[in-house]
Amino acid sequence: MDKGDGLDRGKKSKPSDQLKLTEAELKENITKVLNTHNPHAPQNIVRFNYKEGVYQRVSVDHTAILFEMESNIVYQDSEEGRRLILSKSTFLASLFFDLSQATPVEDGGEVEEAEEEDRPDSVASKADKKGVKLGNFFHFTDRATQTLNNPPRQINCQTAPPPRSIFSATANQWQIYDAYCEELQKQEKQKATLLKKETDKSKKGVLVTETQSTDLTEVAKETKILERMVHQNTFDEIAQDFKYFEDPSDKFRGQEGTLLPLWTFQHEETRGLSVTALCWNSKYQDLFAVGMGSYDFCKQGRGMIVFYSLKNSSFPEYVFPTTSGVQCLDIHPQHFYLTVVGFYDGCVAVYNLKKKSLEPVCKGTPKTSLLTNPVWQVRWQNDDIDNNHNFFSVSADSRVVSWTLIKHELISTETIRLSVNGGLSNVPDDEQLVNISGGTSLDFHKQTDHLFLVGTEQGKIHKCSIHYSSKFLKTYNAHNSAVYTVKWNHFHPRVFISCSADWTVKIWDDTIKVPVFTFDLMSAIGDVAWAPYSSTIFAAVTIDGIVRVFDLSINKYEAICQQLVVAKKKTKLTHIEFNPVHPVIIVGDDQGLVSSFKLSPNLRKTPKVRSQNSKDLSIRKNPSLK
Amino acid sequence: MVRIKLFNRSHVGFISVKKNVTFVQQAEVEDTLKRIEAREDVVGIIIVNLDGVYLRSTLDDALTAQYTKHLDRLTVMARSVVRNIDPEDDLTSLRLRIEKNDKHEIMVEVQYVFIIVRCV
Repeated sequence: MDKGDGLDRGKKSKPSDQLKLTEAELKENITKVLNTHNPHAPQNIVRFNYKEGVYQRVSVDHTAILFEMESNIVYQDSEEGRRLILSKSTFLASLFFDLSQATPVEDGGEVEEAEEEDRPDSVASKADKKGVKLGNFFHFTDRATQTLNNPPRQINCQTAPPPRSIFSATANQWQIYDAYCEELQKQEKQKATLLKKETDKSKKGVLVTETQSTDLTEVAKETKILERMVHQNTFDEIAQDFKYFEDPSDKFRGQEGTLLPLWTFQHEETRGLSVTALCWNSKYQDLFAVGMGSYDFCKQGRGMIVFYSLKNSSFPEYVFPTTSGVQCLDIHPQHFYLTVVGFYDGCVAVYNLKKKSLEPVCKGTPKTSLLTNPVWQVRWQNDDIDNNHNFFSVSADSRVVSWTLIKHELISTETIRLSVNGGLSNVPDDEQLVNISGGTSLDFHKQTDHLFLVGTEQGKIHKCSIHYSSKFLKTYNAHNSAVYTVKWNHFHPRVFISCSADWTVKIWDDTIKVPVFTFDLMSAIGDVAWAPYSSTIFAAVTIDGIVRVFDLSINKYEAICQQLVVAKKKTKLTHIEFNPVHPVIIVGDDQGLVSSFKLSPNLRKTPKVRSQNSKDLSIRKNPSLK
Repeated sequence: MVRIKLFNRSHVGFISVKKNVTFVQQAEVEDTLKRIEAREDVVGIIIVNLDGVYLRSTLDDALTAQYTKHLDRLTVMARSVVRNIDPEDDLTSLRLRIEKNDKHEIMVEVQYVFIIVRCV
């Protein structure tokens, strides 16, 4: 028990903490027992038993399975083993009955016994005895082979996708309609091409012009409409007044009426010219023609024909400059695009508005005379038998000439020659010159076509007829000086009005040589006109710038309206015309300005229509006649 | 608030293109356009052809493009309205009145798409 320091050779060393026992204790035999208790198995496992509700000790199995293998080995000595051995041996015995020297079945028991004795190595002994392998018919063997599998392969083919486009459309009523129209057109074209083959050329022509062009000519119409739209906006109030305004103060004014100023029409190029003629268009009632010229004998020069529309007062629709001053014009009542103009130099011309040129269609000069004989009045007449247009003119050379328009040429025929004595007189030339008086105005009867009135420079009015070229039907010693205007009444077949340089306006019944009414207007008169809506209303303009409107059914002696219409004091009014449809009058003056006015309600009273129209009117008009 | 007036044509007519184009007509149209422009009320004129390309304009580019684009669409819609009611009819012109602030009025002629911008 010495402590070993370091190396100890051959000596058994004892560790210091070895248990010290006595010798008796050392000799004590201690038996070691092997048992099957598993020392590792816990002995105090407790589990809660839910059924009984208490903790119960669980016993752990002490058996530890080290190796387990399932097989079919049977123990020899067990019952099953013995049975198996027996069954096997008898089987073998029965099989090899003729081969073996074994006794028949009687000996089976013996065999069995023998076998039982030879039990330990019965099978083996049998096998060793024979030495021949026993084949078995009933033994099967499976044999399998695998054929070669072809590896699968994929072959694909992709086509190019068809081209796609997205299409969208709407089907409205009008699109359907359009489609139908196109179809119809196509069908018609096909029919046409079957019949005529010349249409191919024209089709090509149309195609060419449909290509896009930056030309502005296609917008001509739209430009015009736009200009009018803008104009309407600018003059909106006037347009509203024109259409809707009715002067309410007329109720309080008694019989009198007023003129409401509307648009004024002026063109820069007409400076210096005065209005010498006015005429409304019968078809387009907002269109009127203004003839520009000069009444002054000294200041003769150029002239102009200007067409204005009420829809555009700032710029005329058509402008035709002329070399000589215009003295009169007239628009054909049926062929509204034809205008005939009479000039100061004695020519007449016909203008066609449909044509785009500034030149007249045809021009006619008086046959004779190198002197300037202004044409004072022209009037269209109905087309003659051959449908040629014709008109009449009266000029200062005292002739009433009928012109016929035949294929762009004017052919004149003298209708009548005016002379003081009435009718052609067989007087030698010198005297004839003295006796001839120039005609200053002309008007055809509204109902009877062939009847017309001519006013002369001498102050006489002749009633003539186309059919009688040599004689006057009647002569009236109307005035003391030149008759400026003669006009038949629109309704009454026998009444006409005349105004002259002697400052009077006279109303006549053509059966009576004396005027029925005389109005002295205290001032030189420019023009007089009947109202188209009433047989008793007429208007007169004077050089003092006053428009006078008379209504004979209301007041036989005085005008029911006297209004100063011009701004400048020295402006002379030269012409007046009533619009055939609207209650508007246009007044021309010597500054080249045309003003338009709306007639107030008092001036527009139409006579009551009764069954016997003319009779009533005549009574109303001429109470002195009965 | 915007007020719109539509104007119809009363008769059926196919768009006819004139073959013979004269210089006189061109000059007249130019004159008319100048006159419209010269008015103190008119702010500008735009002439647009059927494809939406503007031929002439007195306003600046950006404004013109804007007007053209929007008014073109409005025109198409308005025309659709008119023709749906009566397929034989067609839209001729359009007036737009803008009443706030500036009190503008835009007038559109549809056949060749005209636009005038005007200050009331």
